[in-house]
Amino acid sequence: MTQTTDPALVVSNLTKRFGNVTAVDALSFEVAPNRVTGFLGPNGAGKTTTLRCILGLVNPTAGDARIDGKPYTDLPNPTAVVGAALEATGFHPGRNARDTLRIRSTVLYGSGNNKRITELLDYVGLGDAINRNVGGFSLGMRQRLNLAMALIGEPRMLILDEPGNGLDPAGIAWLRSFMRGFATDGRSVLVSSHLLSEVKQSVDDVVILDQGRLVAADSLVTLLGQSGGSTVIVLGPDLSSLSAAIAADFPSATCQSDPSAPNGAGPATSDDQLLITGVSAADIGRLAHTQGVELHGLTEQDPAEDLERLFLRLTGGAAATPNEVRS
Amino acid sequence: MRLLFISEWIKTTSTKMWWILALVAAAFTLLLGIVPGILLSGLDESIGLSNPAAMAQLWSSLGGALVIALILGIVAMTGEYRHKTITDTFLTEPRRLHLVSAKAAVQAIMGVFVAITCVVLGIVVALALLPTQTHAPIDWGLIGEISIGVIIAFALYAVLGVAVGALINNQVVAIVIGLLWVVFIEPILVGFLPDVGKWLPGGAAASVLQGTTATGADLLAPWLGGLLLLGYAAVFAVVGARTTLRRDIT
Repeated sequence: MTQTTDPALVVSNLTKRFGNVTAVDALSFEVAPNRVTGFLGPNGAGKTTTLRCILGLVNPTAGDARIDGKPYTDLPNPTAVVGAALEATGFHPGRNARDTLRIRSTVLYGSGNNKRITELLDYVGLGDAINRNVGGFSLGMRQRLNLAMALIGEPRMLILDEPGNGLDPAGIAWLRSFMRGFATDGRSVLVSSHLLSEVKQSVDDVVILDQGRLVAADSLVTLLGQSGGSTVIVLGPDLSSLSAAIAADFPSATCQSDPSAPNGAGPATSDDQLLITGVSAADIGRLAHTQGVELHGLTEQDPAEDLERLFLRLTGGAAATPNEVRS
Repeated sequence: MRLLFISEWIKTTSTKMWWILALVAAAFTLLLGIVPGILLSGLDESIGLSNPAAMAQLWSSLGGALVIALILGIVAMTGEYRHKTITDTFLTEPRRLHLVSAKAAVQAIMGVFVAITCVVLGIVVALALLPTQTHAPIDWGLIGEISIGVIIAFALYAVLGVAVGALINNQVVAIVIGLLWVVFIEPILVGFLPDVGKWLPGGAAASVLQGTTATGADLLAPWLGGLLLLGYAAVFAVVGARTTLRRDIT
């Protein structure tokens, strides 16, 4: 067994080109045990290609990925080490859920695993669909079956590609607590998403990818710290004297006029909007009071929205429209 | 390897394709071979079943659905790509050649099953229809030899089908190429190059099918024909496992 402090997965200098397109560009990162690592990036950033390289399904142009020091394809019974639920994984429509799992469980444990399979399908919420053909499954049910396929080998690491797609809010909440619970006792989770809302409450570490390149890899706490602390949104008819006062009293604060901030709070009025970091809402309110500035709004932003702001900044924001990255 | 074999067995038997193809093969054997072979024999003295050679011809039509065994193997391999189950399959067993070998072993058994279906149904229907015609005596020894040849040939063609599927992973393309080969390309090649014919898969299969009953045709010994078929399958499987099955699965 490996020490629990060793990284569960090491991706080194991974590069994949499809013709002229570089899908993954010299990507290096690690996944630590006991951690849920969010693998984030806008659509087309190269997340799925990276995950498929890690799992030996796509041949890297350069670099490699090692799980417990070995490439996936060199692991004996790899599904007992890494459980993967990938997007666009197919199921035979004419095969039922139990048989779909039996195909893998037989390789791992031999035949006669009905109890294990029944319990697992119950656990992922497919207890009533055990003998139903997968062809009649909804997208959410397929995601649950995909997760059951990943879990049947009782792996130490999970690789989940957009696992929340097609799940209802209750399913997403269940998934979050499941991932948190899984990443203990030396186990780890690498979960990709282009939806921050899906992972912000459940990840410890964040790896952000844009156009195949690594733009950030750190713990969520550290990254949020780098984003400059929480942001306060100030609304009012004329905020120029307030921003001057803040600049005078708090030289380290940033004060940015941003009428188009993607926070959903921007009113369709002629009010100015200031995004201020490095100053508490209380200090801003006190300054506005002493300056006699009229305020229409004074809101401290949810830290997750700061993550989203960071995410948009790091990934250029161009590839991710507000609809795709919403919290 | 044993567990992988059982897993592939479950994979095949958990969908309907295996018995659908068995039914198609049986229908093929009956409707294009046995039934017209008996009912039309009364129309023309030259194909009359009172001639023992015509009776031998009738029994050899028990193997008429050989191409279905090829399709059985092709479908087993290419169905993984068609339904995108290949991702989970290679996650379970990344070693491509191991997978192809397990699949080939399972499909060999499926080929035997399809062959037995064709042989048994063919014989039963023939026994029911033969009393309507004058015919030479039923030679059970000959029927036994032909049946064994059919069973072995179907098993080998199913294995060959898996190997073809490993080389050409698009199901429609693989089936079309398989059919074109059997129906057009190989007969044309044999027409131009008769000496080469016995070394081709169809010629090798014919040597297995007709075995001891071969009448004048220039064929390999049945055992050599069988080995040759296995050789084709092995070459296709190894090449497929190293090329086609190594491609990116996106």
